[in-house]
Amino acid sequence: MPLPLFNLPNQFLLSLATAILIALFPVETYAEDLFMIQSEHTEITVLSMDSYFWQHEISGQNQTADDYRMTISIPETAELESISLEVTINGKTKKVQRDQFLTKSTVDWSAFFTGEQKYRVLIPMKCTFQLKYHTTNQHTIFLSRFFKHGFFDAKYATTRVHLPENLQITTQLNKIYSGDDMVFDSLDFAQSKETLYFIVHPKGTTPEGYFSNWFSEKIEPLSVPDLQLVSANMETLSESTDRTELAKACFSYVQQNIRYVDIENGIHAIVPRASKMTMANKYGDCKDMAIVLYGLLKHYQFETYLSVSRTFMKKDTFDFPSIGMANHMIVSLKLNNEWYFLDPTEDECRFGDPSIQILGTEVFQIGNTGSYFHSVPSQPRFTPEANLTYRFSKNAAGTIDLKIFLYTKGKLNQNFIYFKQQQENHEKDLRDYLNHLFPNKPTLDNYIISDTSSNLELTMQLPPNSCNQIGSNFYIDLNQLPDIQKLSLFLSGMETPRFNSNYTITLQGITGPNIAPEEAITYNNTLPGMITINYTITEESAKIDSKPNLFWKKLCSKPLKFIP
Amino acid sequence: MKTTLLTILFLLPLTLLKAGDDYKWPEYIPMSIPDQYKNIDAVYLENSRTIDFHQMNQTSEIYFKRIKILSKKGMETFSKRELYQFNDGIITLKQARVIKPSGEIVELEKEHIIETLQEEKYSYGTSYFKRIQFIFPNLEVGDVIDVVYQMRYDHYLLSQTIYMESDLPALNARLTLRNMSMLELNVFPMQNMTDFISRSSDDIPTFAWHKTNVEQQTESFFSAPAPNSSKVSYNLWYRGEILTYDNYYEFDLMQYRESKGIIGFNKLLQKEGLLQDEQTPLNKLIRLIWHIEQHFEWISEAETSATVKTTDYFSRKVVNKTLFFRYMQAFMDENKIDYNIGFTQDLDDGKFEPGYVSFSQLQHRFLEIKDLEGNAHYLFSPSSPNSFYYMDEIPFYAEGNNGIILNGDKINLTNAFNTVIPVSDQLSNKHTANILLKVNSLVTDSIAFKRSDLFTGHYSVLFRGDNRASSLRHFAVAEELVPPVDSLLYYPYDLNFKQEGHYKELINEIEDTLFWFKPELLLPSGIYFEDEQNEEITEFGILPFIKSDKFSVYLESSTPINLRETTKTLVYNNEIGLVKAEAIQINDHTIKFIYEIKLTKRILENKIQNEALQQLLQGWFNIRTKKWAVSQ
Repeated sequence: MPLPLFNLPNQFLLSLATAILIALFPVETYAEDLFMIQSEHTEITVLSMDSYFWQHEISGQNQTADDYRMTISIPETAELESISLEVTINGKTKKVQRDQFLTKSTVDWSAFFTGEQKYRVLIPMKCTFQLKYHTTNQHTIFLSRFFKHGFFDAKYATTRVHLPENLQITTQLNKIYSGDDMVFDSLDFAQSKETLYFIVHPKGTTPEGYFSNWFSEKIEPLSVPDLQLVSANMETLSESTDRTELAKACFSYVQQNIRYVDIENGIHAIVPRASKMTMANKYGDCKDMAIVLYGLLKHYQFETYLSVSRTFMKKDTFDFPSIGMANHMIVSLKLNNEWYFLDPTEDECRFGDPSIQILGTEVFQIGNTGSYFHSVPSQPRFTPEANLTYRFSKNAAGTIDLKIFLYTKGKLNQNFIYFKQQQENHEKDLRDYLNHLFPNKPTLDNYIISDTSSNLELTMQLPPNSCNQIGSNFYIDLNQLPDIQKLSLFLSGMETPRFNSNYTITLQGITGPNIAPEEAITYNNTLPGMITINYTITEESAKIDSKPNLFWKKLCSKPLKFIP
Repeated sequence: MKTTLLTILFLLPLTLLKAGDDYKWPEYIPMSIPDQYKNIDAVYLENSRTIDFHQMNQTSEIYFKRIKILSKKGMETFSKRELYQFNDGIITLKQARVIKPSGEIVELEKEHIIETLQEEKYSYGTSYFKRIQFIFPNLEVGDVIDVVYQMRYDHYLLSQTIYMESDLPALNARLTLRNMSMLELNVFPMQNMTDFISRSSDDIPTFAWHKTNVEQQTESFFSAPAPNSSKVSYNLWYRGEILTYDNYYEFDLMQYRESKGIIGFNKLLQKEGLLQDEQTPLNKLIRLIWHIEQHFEWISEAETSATVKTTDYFSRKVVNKTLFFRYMQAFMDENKIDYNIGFTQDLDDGKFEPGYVSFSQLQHRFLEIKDLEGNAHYLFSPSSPNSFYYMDEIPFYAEGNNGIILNGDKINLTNAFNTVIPVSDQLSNKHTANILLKVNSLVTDSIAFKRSDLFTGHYSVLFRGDNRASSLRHFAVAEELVPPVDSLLYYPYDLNFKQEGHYKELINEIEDTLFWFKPELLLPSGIYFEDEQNEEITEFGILPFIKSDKFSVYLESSTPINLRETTKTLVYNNEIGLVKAEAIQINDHTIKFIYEIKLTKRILENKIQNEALQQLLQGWFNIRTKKWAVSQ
């Protein structure tokens, strides 16, 4: 007799863990010759700007000894009308019942919008197969890219498009296609590119103009803010001449009052919800937050544009109006003749700095007929800096104490701003956080955290692994201090930070050995009992084998003599 | 009786009482927050769970949670609540609302309740997973969130142990069990749960508990329910009866002993060449376990059919938990080895409570086997192909817990007696390493070594099956798989590895004659696991086992060497244990380094003791990574 559910919590957790693992790491990698898509044929029939049919035929083989799961994606606004799977096993061909091979997954574990709904197709082991599906779709704006080898890296892939007379396709390569029967194959792609971005638009319009108008028509009615909900301070600021302070207050209002929650369904995959609704709910996704900020800035008569953008996760340069190239929305503001790219989804971001995820990317400014595309600076407006001083001194017990002074600025200060924003009980969290950098739990003697910079002072007794005492002499082992890579990871929060930061490390109370400095590192040991190292961390130099880190390792390769 | 039970479970008529969509929210009465909770992020004003057993093999559970948001962090944490639904159990009711400090009530509209799902097809069926997100708009510190949801199962949850402690402290925690089924509901309240209401309102037998100021229960790697946690176990059993060990024994006989087609097991084993006449029956049993461990394929419990004879499974060389015990019992029955059946539960799930028969407590089955001298030996089942337990090896999840021993024949239970599962001592669980390093001069890149590592007790278990290579790496013995040169046949199953080779990067020059000697590479990086320092600190934790490790490292040079350190002994100890390193100049050519880890406390009863464990771990790190100054 089965005895069900003796251990429900364990089963629950196991199932949850399994579900998460399946979602995060679907096992779909096989040797090419064992699982292969032979051909993919896509047929797109556009009826009007607002509707089209999509038919897809995939032929392939699964010669592995395991079932294989294929994921097919269709746009958020599409309906799957029909799907069929035919398999041939041992020479016998049969149709698989839909409920035996098809499942749907609407769980999106990533915070980044894909604009797609996903179906999973189970391909049996040791078979050849043919999968066909047909969707009806709204909004040709979702038609945005072709893949040279299809969606599944097929040996042979073609796409046939039927367009009504009044519409045309413009590709990223500035080629224009029109007609009732067009075939796209690898010859239409740029030589080294796997993806061809395009847009369907009415003849007589430009791609950028159409793209901009499509969004404008939908967005403008939604962008009116509920001014009852903003602070009186903002109204006061609007009467002053300090326009920067007013823009800052608008940004701060959205950043601090609207919680980022990634709920993106249906047309809201690409179009924001009404600004008033988001302000009342106090939550929204990137588009919802952006339209609130855009509405406020517009209300106060700034030159501002809601901007379709990409984060650094999207690799292709966003230089063509295709939603397939974008995954984010921000606000562009022209202030004092300068562009500000405002992303309120980053809670700790200082006004004026682009968020980390958009540094070095591009935006499309909706409605800016003069110039739609703009580049976001690759570096923050406020240079990130960290100064770290280690001061070694002998205590009354005759052992060595270490005093640590840490000063941070710009984006390297953002982690500390987080603690300040927590308001209540943040000191304990701050101590716990610092213990990741200094695990021997130094005491936090003093700290000041502001929106622009922070100062922290810590003290600890040197643990036994950090010191060799030989007679009356002490030698300090710097290996127990965080290396350059760890320090960068701790302060930037990223393994390879997307911005450059200037670091200064000062060691007081030890002799500085003579080491030839590496390129881009300044090393000064001329003063007795004082070493100063200056370097800049870039995306490249944050790595473990980078020059600054190797220099630090060289410095740590021998203990340094303590000078009382 | 067995047939009757199945009829009761599956053929009764359906009348399911639903919470329905018209859930009536409990009245909200503002209450002040006691001082002890004022610095936390959120607190349950009410945390209530109602379990209904319906007439036809269905169970529903209604959860009502009233949460007061006390900080900005709490607001951010609780502004999005998620529920998960799997194949087993569906959510039939989900509602939420916010009560503002002004008393205004805002119902959560459907657009703020987001449902997403994920299905996967497998050869054995479909896995189903649904996520339900409650997103609370305009949430502020001081708001109160009400959430209610109902889980429905198309079977009876026959037995559970329910704790009142949850993820937040609760000013009020309630549990109600209502029985509308044809079965009998028996409850066993433990610790401070003896004060409850038992009534039969509208002919529905009901048990209800209400506790105030219930503490938070945290969950992390080493966490377990504290002994003083408020808990209730229940069983559903035949009407008018209470589940006893007598009828459970009958059930157990059916599963493991009766009519399973094992006849002439000895002959089968002889045919396999497994039995030698000079061995004692117990030795033969030990050999049989090894044989199964090494040569049998692991199959899931679901792959075991009642219609297939056990001998057929044995011939197919397959094993799982159930088959393992059938093989063992068949062998012992035929060889007249005296044994009893025992049960206990995972210590991480709480203490086994004697005096109450509950399915939920009979989690782990074991055999108590008597040798010819009448001494008792324990045998636990494997839980996977890599976790076979030999005779007298007690899994660390069971060590020290209470249990029950059932003694009977092939028909009836004769006795049931309480037992305490033995706990291994510090000296039974050892990792001892002797490492001899030989150099001609300290100016060298490569050092010849001879190394011998001995693992005993629980350590030995960690090296079973495919786990051996990773355990060797983890305990810094070898990067590659090496076979043991020797292994003891009886508890504590000593496992000895011997190696010779060359180590690199153990010595580097500081200045002319001064060197750093770095034994770090020779020593395990953690006390139990590599990343244990990052584990969250819990209120009540159980460490796997207490132990004593000793690593002796001899640095021997053909030219004289000197230890230059002023401080030669490094020690860190606290109430959890001790870590130590000592450097000794043995003679002009040899320096000995002794490292020790001694764990003296296994059950950590409060946050302070858990912090002491973290400090001990840091202490070991500081000692292990010490570079010793030596000269030549």
